[in-house]
Amino acid sequence: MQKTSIISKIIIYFVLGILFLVVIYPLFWIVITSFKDNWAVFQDPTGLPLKPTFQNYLKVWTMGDFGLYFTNSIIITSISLLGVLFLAAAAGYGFARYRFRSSDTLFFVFMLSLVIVSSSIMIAQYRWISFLGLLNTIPGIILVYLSWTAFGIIMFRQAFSELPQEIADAAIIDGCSELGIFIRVALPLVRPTIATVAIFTFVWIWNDFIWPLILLQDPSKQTATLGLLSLRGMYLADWAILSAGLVITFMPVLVIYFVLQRHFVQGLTMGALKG
Amino acid sequence: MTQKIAPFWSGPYIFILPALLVYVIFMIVPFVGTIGLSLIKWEGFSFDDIKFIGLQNYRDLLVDSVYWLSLRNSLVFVAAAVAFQCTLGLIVALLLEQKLAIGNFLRGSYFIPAIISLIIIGIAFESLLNPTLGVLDKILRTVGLEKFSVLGMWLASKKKAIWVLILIQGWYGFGWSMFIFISRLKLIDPQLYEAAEIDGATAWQKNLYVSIPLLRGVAPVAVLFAAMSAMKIFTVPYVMTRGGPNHGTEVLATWAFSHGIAYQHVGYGSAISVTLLIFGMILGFFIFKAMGMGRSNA
Repeated sequence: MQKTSIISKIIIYFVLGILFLVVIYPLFWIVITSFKDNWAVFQDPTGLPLKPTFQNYLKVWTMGDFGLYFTNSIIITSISLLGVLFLAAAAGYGFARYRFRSSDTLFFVFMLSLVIVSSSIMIAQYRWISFLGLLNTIPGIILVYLSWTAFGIIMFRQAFSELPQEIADAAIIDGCSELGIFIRVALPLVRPTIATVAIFTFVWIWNDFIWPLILLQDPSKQTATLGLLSLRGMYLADWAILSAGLVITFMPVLVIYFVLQRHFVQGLTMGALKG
Repeated sequence: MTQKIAPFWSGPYIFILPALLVYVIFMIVPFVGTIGLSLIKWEGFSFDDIKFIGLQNYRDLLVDSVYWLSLRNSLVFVAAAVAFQCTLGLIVALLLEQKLAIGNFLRGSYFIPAIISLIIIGIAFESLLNPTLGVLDKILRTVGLEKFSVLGMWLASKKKAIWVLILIQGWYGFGWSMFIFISRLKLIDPQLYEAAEIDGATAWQKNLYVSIPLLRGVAPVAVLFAAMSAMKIFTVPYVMTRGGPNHGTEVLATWAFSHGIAYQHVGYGSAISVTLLIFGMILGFFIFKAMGMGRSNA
């Protein structure tokens, strides 16, 4: 690969470097702003903090109610995640293991969710959840997230269908029930898929803004993403506090991304190839 | 694993029913409900006020100038954001596949915007572009590109605001497009490149005559995924401009929200939502078709 000339290489690095700065700078700016006094932000909006301080984080967590919002996000996201994993793994296994008359139709029904986007069913969902008495409740929004199983079902069905037949046969000979095969034999063999589905689902649910906006108007139930809106309203020109809130909200996702990047990549390439 | 043939109710149902139930109750019901609600007139207070009016809401849509503006904005947004996002993603994918030293690090970094919550992105860019704070001005002044600082004022212009949103969507989504292209690039047989080298091709020519033609199969996938994501935007316009100024950034989802949730015109808002659903399904249909083609090409 020595055919690429030095000049080309320099140009390529330059372009990619600029792009890198453009990608990273907004996040970098938010972080440095969060450690400044708001007065310092106005004085020098782009410089590094002269006297770094944690006061914004303290204020946001207590007076800005972010401790509450963050906790709500953790509770809602974790429980929804576990639920989605169970539901999607089971359904994916069902589609992989069995063939029945309506299997294609049912699978297609699940795939419909890829086009039924949240922003197009907001109104009806609001009315439906209120009708069910689940408005402004944590269980209510969790149930909505539990319907986000399509991605997981696709991934799990793919993974389970690649398991060798002998494993299932051996388990049956050992007297295992179908459910037993699923739990004790199949599931442990698809750990990478579990990781990938878990990561993506966590990120999507944690980041979601639409459902908290529509279904959680009670301030005590709000998530971090919705809380940012309240924060912005409460602390109008206080960019420092707002930035602290932003950092608190994107930190968990960023950490998971860095630590588990391998699983992100694996899931993406699989998804891109198989669709 | 070979599949076991069994009727639904003696085997498969244990595994599939739970997910199916939740899915039907919390996604299919609101989906059908949206269509149903679009046929009524209701201000959302008491159930007694519900009046069935058939297709009247749709007739009102036809004469609603803001609706047509929001539709136009949605389409412009989708076309421009997709073009920007996919072109950038393609270029980056090709550049990264030149096997540079820090290629993996860069690839990982370029994907970061895609995992940030849209509300964070909206608020962050709002801060960055805020003229009072002047962050954008300062940066551009440092690089000597002051002329571009007018970008910050675009958010206040009815005609130009949407272009800011388009740029932000490109920033957010190009990582996805990049990944789709990289995945396909990694599958290209290296012998093709070697053959081209033997014929004396430079890196540029190898890209032009080997890589790009072979990416044609996956291009529809990249385009359509980007289009789906762009069609359904709500959060960024909602939080940055609330559809303004003067409906300049009003898109289908925000207009539906305004009517259906904010003004409590449940029926009318639902009708707008139905049109959004229809567009989503048309796009979805094309994605499924494109996937079929993509698979046979590989």
